[in-house]
Amino acid sequence: MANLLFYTSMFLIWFMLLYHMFLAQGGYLHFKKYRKVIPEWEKKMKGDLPFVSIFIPAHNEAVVIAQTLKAMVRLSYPKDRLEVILICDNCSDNTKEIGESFAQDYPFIKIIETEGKYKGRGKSTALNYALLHSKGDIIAVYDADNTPEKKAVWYLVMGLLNDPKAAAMVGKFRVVNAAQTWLTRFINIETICFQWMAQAGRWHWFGVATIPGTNFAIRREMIEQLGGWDESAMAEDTELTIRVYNLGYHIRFFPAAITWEQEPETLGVWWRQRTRWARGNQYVVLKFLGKLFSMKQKRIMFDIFYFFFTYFLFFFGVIISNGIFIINFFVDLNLSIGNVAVVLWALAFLLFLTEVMITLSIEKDQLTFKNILYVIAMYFTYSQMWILLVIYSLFLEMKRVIFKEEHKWYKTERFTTKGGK
Amino acid sequence: MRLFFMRCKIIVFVTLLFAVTFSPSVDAKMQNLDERRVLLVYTNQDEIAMANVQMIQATMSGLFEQVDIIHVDQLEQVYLDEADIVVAYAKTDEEISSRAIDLLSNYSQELLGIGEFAKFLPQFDEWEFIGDISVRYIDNQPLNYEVVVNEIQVDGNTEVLLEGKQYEKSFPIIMKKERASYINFTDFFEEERYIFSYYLYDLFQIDKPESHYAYIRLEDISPVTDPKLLQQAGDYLLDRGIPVYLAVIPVYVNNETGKTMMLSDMPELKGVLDDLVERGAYIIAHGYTHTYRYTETGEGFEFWDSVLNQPITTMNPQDEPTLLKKANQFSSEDAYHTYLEPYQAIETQYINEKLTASIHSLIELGYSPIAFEAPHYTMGANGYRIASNYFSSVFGQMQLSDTNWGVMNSPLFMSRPTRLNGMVLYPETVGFVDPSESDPITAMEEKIAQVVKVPGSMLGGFYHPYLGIDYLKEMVALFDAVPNLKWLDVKNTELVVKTDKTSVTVENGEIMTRSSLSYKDDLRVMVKERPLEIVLWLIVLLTTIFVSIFTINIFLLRIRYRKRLFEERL
Repeated sequence: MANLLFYTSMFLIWFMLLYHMFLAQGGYLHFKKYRKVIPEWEKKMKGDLPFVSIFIPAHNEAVVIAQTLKAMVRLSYPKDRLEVILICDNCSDNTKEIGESFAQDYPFIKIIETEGKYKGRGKSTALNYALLHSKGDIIAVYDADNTPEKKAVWYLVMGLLNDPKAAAMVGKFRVVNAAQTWLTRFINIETICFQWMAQAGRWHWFGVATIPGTNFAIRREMIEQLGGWDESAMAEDTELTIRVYNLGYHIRFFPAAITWEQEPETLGVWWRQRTRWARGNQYVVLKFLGKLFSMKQKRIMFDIFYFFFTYFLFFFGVIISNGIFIINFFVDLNLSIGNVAVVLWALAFLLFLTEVMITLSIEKDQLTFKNILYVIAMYFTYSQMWILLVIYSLFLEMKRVIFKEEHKWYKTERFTTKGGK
Repeated sequence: MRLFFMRCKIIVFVTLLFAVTFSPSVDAKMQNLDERRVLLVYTNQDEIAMANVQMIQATMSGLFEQVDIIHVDQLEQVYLDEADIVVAYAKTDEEISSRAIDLLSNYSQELLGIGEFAKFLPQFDEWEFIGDISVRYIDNQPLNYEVVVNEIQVDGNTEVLLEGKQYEKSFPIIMKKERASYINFTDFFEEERYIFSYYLYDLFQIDKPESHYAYIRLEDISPVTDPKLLQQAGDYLLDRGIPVYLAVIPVYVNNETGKTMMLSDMPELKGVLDDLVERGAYIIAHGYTHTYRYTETGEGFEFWDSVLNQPITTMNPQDEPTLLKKANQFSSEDAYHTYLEPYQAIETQYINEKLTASIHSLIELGYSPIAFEAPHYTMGANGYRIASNYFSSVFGQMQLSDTNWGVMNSPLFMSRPTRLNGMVLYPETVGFVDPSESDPITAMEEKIAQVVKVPGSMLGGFYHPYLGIDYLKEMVALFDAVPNLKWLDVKNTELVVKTDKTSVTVENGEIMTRSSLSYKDDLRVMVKERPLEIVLWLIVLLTTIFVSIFTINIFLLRIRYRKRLFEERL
């Protein structure tokens, strides 16, 4: 029995690790080639550019909103073809006032405030509200803590103009406060990995990328056809991704478009943010798993299965494997597996190390000695916290289903920038 | 590559050549066999009677070159014409066809009657068969049990070689008159086995050899054997110039967990085996896993279903075996055999796979199996038939029934029992050191004393190395005390062990092993024994490749990054 469980968990875990290994290679290959199209694509960026509406949903973002708007002002996109809409959702601080001061100086910045049924319902609702009050052919979304680089929107639009089958164009985000705390260092490494493995890797092999919630642009016709953002989804981005693919379009990862965002500096904030993501993804899995085989685009099936694997099967594998590992100290379980388990354990660590290092070396100045030490520490600490997180979020999600609770939007707490970019 | 294939072909050809010419015999140097042809005619066909027929045949095959068996209904004149000696055996006085009696009545050569058959034959007419009587003593030796014999009044010309006694009254047990001789008991399993073996020399005027061959097997060496104890036992024997026979099980299966361990997993034990083999120890293939079904409790019976007491009926240990119907549930023998056919097909495949795996895994480890020993000596006739395609020699005892493993025995001579389909049997005759007995050494001493009374008998015993060497020293001392004892060395025999890809033979007194096994066969064994582990190793391979690629990528990126920095500085 212990043997069967052990082998099952080994296979579940390694199925996942091999998949990520494969993604890491894909990400590297995408990095090698994504820039090559730019000279050709530039040609379409002449003459009348499409009108772009940038949505910035904000709920009490006074701490960060000024620098976000400053970055918007610096964007190199024709300002007559641009509107930046700051959506104040149930703000009780002076987010709106800060926004208005910018609006006075820059006519392309608009401030709107959610009202009635749109008020205080969360990010999806706020975005849907903005959709009603915007005129752009292309909608770009940035979180309120983002500072996009000058050409970020330019590249997103360039992508959409050149790739007619792309419903949305997704850029890369980087961590602005990476050096702030040990936690932000971990998150920095994690986000670089996520971009180059999950996003670039999946795009390279399967033509699949996920809308990340910030730094992406989507065609208005597309979002309208989809009926806006799903207001009950906590991870509105994942949910939207699946619906886009279901319509027969794809989402392209174009890392030339870069934004810098702030990451949680304390564990409590991180915990709440990640719980929201985990629950959101679990919600998506449960929502779509039943419809898996009726989906129009088979490649997205793979993605839903991936989430199912991550949050249920892989998780189960890790729990079992850890459980057996601990029990084995007290009771002889007569495990038949020999040296291969030790070799695999060592390889898992090496694989993690090289995967992370390869994504770090793609980014300038990231493959430092200090970061390598952090990567090693990460394997034993930060990565393991994920287990607790999944347990907790599964518990919350179960509780929600049983007691029929409604989703609440826990806003991610912001920090005043001391260091920054 | 072509050369490789050519070499394979040559090996296959050589193997085929052996298959054709393969007719094993105990080497003439070791046994002086009588050239007279013996025909054993029997009447009854029940389990015990048949087991006795097999024992008579096996015992006689230790002295005569050719001993054939035939049922009385199949007897033809031509068989009698070819026979120099006829043995007529009937356990009970069932009616015998007049045709058979007529045929045998005219037989004028040496005739040995055993049991009830003689009553019907004219050669014994001058004796009066009065009725049954039981005896308590034979040759003035008390028996552990009563033996029912015929009370026979013999005439004056009859030479009584052996008498039995009941209450001071004597009864002839073995007698001879001219060309007719008679044995007055019908079971050959216990004390009668010694008596029969002993008197065969006198009945047929055969020279009695003065020496006894002997062997000691180190038993049940599996991946869980203690290497130190094995080394001690092996060293002890080798240091005294005693050939070492190691009964090796290549795979250990834990019955409770299904966990398997292979010899190659145990480097220390492997080292000890390598050392002993290097110094001349012989390997006996003692099955492959020593188990049939995992759920069986205790030490497994690999080639016999010990729970249902019947032959193997399933390929996979997970499958539920079928309880076979008995012969008496069928209207005819043909119907019974037709019923058994599909099960025998499974048994055949099962035994083929296990024996091939056993030989191949031993050869892959660098060992040359020289003979076979079935776990617990259990195997049906079909099993022996299959085993004879692989081995020319067997150590141990024979299972004498196809429906009950408990019916088991061995002749006292090196022999070629019909039951073993041509394989030479090196019989286990003196047992093993059983520490559960109050005085295990004395028990063995008594057995040895009994066996050595029979001229030319073999002293075959075995020893479990896990007992340490104290008992082994005593056991060896018992053997050493036997005058004219010669240790069996299979290098002096004509043995063959072969599969379609391997062969082990003796050439010019050296063990020669040929093998065309490749890494693929090795892999096949691993895949069969540990499919999951193979997958995990493949994962290891794949991951190692990727980790290497990633490392290269990291360096390429670093070089590129430095180049860029350098260019920027310019």
